[in-house]
Amino acid sequence: MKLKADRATLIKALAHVQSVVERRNTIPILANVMIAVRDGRLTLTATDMEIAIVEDVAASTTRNGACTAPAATLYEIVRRLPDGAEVELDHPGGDAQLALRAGRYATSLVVLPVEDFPSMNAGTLPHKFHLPAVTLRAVIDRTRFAISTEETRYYLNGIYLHVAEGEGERMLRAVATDGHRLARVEEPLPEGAGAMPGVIIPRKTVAELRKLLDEHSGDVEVALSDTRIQFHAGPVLLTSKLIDGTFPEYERVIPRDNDKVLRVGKKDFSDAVARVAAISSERSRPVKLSLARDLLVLSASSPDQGTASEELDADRVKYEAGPLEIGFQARYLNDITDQIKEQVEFLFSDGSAPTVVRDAADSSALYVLMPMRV
Amino acid sequence: MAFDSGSFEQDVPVSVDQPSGGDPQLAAKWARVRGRLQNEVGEVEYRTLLRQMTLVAFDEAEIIVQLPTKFLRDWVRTNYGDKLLALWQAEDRRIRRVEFVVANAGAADPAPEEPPIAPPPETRADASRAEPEARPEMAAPLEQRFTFDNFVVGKPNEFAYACARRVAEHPASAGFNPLFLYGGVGLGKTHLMHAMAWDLVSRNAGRTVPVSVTYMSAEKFMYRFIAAIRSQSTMEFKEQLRSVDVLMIDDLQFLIGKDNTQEEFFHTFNALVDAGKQIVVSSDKSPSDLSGLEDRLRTRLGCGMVADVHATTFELRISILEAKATRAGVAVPSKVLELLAHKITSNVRELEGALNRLVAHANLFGRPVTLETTQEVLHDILKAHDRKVTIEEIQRRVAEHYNIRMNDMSSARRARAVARPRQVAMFLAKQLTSRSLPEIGRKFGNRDHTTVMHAIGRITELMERDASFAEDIELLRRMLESA
Amino acid sequence: MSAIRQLALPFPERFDYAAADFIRAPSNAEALAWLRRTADWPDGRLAIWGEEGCGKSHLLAVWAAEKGARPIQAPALRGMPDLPSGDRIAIDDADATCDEEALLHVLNAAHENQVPVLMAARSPPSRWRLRLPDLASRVRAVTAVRILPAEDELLRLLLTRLLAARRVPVARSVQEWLLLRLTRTPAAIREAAARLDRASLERHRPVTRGLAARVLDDFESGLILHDEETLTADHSADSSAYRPLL
Repeated sequence: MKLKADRATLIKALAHVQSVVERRNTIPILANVMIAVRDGRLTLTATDMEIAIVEDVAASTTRNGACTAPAATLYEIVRRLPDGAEVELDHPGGDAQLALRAGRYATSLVVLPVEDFPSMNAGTLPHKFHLPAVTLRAVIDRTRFAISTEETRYYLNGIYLHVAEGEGERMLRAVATDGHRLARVEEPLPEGAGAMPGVIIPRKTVAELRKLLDEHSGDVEVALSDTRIQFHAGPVLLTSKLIDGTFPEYERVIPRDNDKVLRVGKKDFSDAVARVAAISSERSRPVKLSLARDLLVLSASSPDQGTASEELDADRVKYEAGPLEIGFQARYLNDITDQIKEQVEFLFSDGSAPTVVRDAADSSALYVLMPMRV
Repeated sequence: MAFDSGSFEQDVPVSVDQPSGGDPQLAAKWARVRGRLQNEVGEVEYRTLLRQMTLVAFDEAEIIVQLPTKFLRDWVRTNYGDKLLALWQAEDRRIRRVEFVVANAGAADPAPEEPPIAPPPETRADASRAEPEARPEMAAPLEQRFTFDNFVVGKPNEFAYACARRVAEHPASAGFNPLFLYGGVGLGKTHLMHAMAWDLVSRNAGRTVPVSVTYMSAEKFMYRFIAAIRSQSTMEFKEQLRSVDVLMIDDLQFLIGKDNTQEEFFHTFNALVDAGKQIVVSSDKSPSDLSGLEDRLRTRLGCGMVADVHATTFELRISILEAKATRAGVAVPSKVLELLAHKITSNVRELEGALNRLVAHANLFGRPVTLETTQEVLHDILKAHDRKVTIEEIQRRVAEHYNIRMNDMSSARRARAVARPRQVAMFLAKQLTSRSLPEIGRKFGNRDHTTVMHAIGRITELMERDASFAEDIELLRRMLESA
Repeated sequence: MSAIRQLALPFPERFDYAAADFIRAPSNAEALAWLRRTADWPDGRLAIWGEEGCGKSHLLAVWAAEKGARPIQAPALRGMPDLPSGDRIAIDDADATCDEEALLHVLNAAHENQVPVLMAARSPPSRWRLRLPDLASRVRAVTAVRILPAEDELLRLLLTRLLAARRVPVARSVQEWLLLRLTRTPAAIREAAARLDRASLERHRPVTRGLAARVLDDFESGLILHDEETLTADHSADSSAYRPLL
């Protein structure tokens, strides 16, 4: 295997693939990236057995072949090479080391046999559809904050992507929850997704995909079966296993009859939450919302630091239902309002029941937030 | 019977699966993995939840195990995923993952269809008996076993029986129209009406014009009537009803408060009586006591023959049970019959129901009917309620039994004379209450749950070794339960 | 622990009542034997009864599924339900009927159509409180089979199962610790599973011994259903008490 490539091109691809590689790895070969040249095409592959990322890289190749080399080391070396450098990779085959040359710099890296590199078998992926990168980005951003990080409930450690009956119409739906809050986003059902099974995309896959979407515009091709999902974005192919579990019956926790409606400007609200919560020393930073007709008082207190409150009156809030007091974690409020453009709409029932939050101007996303009991 | 799970139609075979294609050693490895798992988790848990695992694929570094339901899949993965992986890795170092999948739904064989609970009358063996004129829309089917022959006659019902026979022989004769049978529920009114219908129809063989008989409950009468109104076919309903020779309406009290249906019944009644047709009616009260029924209807109902069926006597109950047991072809000891006749006095339906249960139980489990099985099987009807036993009661009883003081149950004394009874009481507290062991310990002078466990172990051991001790404990248990 | 506490979304318990998921045990062996032999039910009627959470509804659902029977919730039964002839009937919570005439109608209709009726209830039919004499006498004649109080081993499996149904992983050692301390009834086990689930979800923590101890403390400090008296359910094998716990 022998090739030459631009440092800039190479570093970008290496950045993608090495981010999949787990830092603490008990299986040595999983720390490696596979570099393969076949018929003039260079591909880099990395995997952690759950996710595999394969990227096509523009290069001038002179000999077919493949080897695997430590991904992190390779990335560090290439990153430190000067801008505009041309990198040559040369591996004669077998156990021989991989030679890397750029200008006057040269190194050789120990390789592991390509045969030992685990290939991720995607199997057949019967469901295929396209989503604009910008849509996929918006779906991820508005749900990923609610993904659970508590490992024992593995089935909550991802985004549940499925087809659901929306307002009389079948929609593609993404849902995430950590048991305290829930985010549900709907998009029109893309052609080809109609018969797809509900799948749970792991948190790490979501993160990797999101990184790729920063650099990609245009469409992403999504293909899936009930155990694997694949995203094709430009030169990158991301294949991932899905979480094999049952997502909870989330519909049952979305309240339908909450009738106490609060409307408030996103910026007014989130700034006030941040200012009031600053007093709190607790990790959860509880903020109390006290509501009366066209009046919202946010308050927080801390036994060792004192109290804080801020009023938002009729100029800035609209609320016509009866008085209500309810407490939330500041972070949870902000995670949601971060996703809302201008007007936030809250629908309350009472101080201990699930609360619905929406963007007043956008019905495609819905958030459910559980209060704190004071 | 062991702890187990699976369809209750058949035993789930322990799967000795051979994954299709590939490694001939795979089955052996799988068997070893399962064996080790069984050793680790224990027989009960293994049999109940784990034995339904099937190895379905061996994919590179991955093992795929299938379970019949999503629940079992999640359960096995959560509780045994890591263990299975470790056991597999001990067999084959290349394996990195064990995956769990659910078997395709609907793959199981449908359960074999059981025969209907009783063959429909027309397929019954007794072909000599003609079915009453078929009126599927109108009449209710007659019970095969409700014949005059099967009706056990005694003092309380002999008058009603005689009237029924008379009407069956000479329908619509003067003074017997309508025939009004009344008495408490389940005393045999329905039986008599069905018997009349069978008898009337059996005489049709010698008649040039057959007698048509319609039997239905008042509930059904109302139901049909309402259905006819809904489908705007009341005229047909009326015509059908008025074309019969003998109309029998069971449980007339059902019409109380249902004015429209009463009205319709009244007209039908008049039309039939005027046309010289026979009417038989049953109710739980006499015509004069049927308040809530229109006066003119009550008057007309009472102007024929009114016969009451009295509550059964002990002698009649014994005769009924004897006749029934003989028909069922099951030997029932007379002590059992006496127990039933003594305890179940309310009505014949319940009495027969109890005997049916005994017979069915005996057939199902292949055990003869004895006084003991009777008490066991009919426990819920022979006893008005179950007792709950408290720990204090157990302590008191046991203390009395062993002649020690009640406060020795919670004292610190460790002399054998008090320690053994205390252990017995702990053992019984575990058996007869649902308290947790720490709670039981607390009731015995704040003792630790390990002390309770020790006591239970000790008493169990003694009971196994010493039959008379075991008998003693059993006696105490019974006393506590029936106190 | 701060007095302020994050609440958890009220996710429902999830039960599929699959046949393969039913745990057979000596305590339910007799009920199973009867269910396998629908043709032998006297008068085509059978009632299974037992304490809350003992598996009645599960058995009823399995029987209904295998026989293609129509499931009916007795408390929801009203008026004169139209019953297509040939439909077998499975009535759950049969002792909690509000409309006795409706229940009588169902029983009569099934009898007339010669199809079997299975009922499930917490108490034996002979002890249902019925006002309608016609219904009472029919119901008292029904063959009743009891699901006996659960064995320790069954309770152990039940806890595992209920936790799995809620998909809360709990270490075996913690489960054993709990089993020793919980009242030995299915209802108490079920309540414990629900509380553990909620507590762990509220705290975003796995169920550890410490968390389990805290949940158990709540049980005992009288926040709940089990007071002194209702706890004493009779537990013997052949003649013992039925005590509803709620």
